[in-house]
Amino acid sequence: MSLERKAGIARAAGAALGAALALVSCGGGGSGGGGEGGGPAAGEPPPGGGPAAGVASKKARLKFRGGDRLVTDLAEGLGLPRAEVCNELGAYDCSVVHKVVLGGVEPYRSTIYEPVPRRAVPSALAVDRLALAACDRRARLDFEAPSSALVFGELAADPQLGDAAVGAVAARLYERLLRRAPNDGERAALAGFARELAAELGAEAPRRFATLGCFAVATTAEALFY
Amino acid sequence: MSRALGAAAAVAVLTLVAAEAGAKPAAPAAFCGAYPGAPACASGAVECATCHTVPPAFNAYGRAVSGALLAGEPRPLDDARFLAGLPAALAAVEGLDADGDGASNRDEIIGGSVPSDAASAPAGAGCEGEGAAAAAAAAGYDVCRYDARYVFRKVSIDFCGRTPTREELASFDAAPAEARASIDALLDACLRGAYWRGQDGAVWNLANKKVRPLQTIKSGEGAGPIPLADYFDDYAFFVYTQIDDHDARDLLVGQYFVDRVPGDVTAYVRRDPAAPGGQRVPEARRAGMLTHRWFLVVNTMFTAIPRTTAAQAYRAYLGLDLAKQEGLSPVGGEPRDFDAKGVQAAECAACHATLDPLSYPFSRYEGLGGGAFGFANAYQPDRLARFVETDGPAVADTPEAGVLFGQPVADLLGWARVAADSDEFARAVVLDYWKLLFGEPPRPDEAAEFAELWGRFKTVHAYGVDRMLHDLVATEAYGVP
Repeated sequence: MSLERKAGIARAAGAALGAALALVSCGGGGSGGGGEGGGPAAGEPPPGGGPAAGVASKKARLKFRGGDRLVTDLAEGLGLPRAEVCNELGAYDCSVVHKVVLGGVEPYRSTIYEPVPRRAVPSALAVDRLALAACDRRARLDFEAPSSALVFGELAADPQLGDAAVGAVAARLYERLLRRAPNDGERAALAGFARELAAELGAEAPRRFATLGCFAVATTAEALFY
Repeated sequence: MSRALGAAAAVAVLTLVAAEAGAKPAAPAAFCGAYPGAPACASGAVECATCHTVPPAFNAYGRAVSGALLAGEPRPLDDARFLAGLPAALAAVEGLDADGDGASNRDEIIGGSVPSDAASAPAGAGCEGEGAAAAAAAAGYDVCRYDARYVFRKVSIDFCGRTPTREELASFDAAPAEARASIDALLDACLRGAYWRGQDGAVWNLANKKVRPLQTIKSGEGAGPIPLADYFDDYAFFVYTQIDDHDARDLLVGQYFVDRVPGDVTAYVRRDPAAPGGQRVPEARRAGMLTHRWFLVVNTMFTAIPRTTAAQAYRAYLGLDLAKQEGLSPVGGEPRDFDAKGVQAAECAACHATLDPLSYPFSRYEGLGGGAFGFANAYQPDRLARFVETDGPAVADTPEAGVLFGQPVADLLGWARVAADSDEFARAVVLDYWKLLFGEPPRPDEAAEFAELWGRFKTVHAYGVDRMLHDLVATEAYGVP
């Protein structure tokens, strides 16, 4: 399966999830069992994913998280040493190579003293690169040593990509990457994506779902902006 | 062409264009005379951006006002005619909608939104009544009030560079009565961390536009091919003044140097006075960053009257960019043109009447000059005598005394003292952090809170940045999602 194909699938899933998250992050209402016990923790985005039922923010101010913080959160969330999150050509830290497009500065040689005010097309590509590399690294480690898997243990143990395994991993991805439990819509989106992969890829599906499901969650608006 | 000449030419061009197009330094205060209750007028004058993109170019609202201003009268208008006509022009366009967002210009000004920005409109209804507020809170983010949980999370991302773990959030949730204390404790921890105060960290990078480093001419650690000065001294000094509640005014008046000590978290310590490193200005003549070797080398270079140096100091530390016609405060009898640069021409004098007296106090500090005498970065009371051959005989008569904000100053130490104690300095320091944390300058409806904040920075916070930041994260602007 080509990288482009993988990325395309993940983006499709990410778009659906992103749309749902954008709604709930802005105060969307709805019902369902979010949170560990079925309800959201205090202050967490509510379950559901339906249209916003509350009051819209007057400020509507979101900031891009930026490359440095993205790498930190990916490293902590996926249990990876920072140096292993993403390396171009296996040698150059992606967050350094793509520093400026990820909102960083390069004052000493390029006289870029402040972050560029707006993100550009390469910013999205660089974010995808970071997230995909980090997710793939975690998946590789977990599938190579399932007994000590950190995130994807259930998938490595279930070649059928069953609902229980997918549900457990979905909850863990939200827990580790977004610091909250998924709501019903988000669980359903990941479950649907897993079924599509299973139908298309067969035995390869669990490994692919690990990388691409992770990628989808790690590139949601909620993960990239605050 | 020397850098000073280049800067002078650029300012002259801008002034000429301004005279044609109509940027008016008196306009921001006059605007607030017409709309004293507007949120954007909290500090008594609106931002230039109310009418301009980059002065003198107008934005959509500025074009509307300009079109209604004394139509038919020949341009340029002098200040008296401009000020006489402005209220009627503002009134004439109140009912229009310059940015086409559906809200009239007047509603935008009174409501605290931006009349030239279609993405900015007066706040609509939504938070009125207890029911609405409760609904907003139940939706996850309390968009109607200060949301402590949202702030806790944001403080961690902004100041520590990481999202709090679910366990940390659960711990915060478990003690709602301790929310304020938890936020303060988290902020204190982050302010001591590498993300905030480390080399190339958040505070360090705030100095980029002030230092304007260039590796090619760096000396010391990581020296470039033409090592002239070490800007790490400037960065270390900057960070030191911004952490641990040191007095931020030392940026301009400190007479010591700071060493950077690498480690897991970079430390900053005062340098042994007996070992000033590459810095040459004697202690009694030092004025913080203004007399650091790097600052003088890259700005003054070989110029007699270092206008570029003064303009950069004005811009970097007081937030006033003369090239944008900010901070014009003409001095009677100026410019006197001691160095025969032609700055008395009308199109030049408009800015040089402010800039030249700002520059005189910098004229005794060597940049790259000194030649065979090897005086680079030194303080030389008779420095200008050396420039008679190139700048004319009058250059030696240039006074060391100057004028800043209308106040006479005897020398650069006096300049720095007036600057450090000014409202402009306090505002500029706080604005740096505001822009870092919000990603943009204060919006019109946040102007009052911003003005209060920098006012407290001068008084309650005693110029301690950490104290100011604790106050900042408690503002509605920061805490309402």
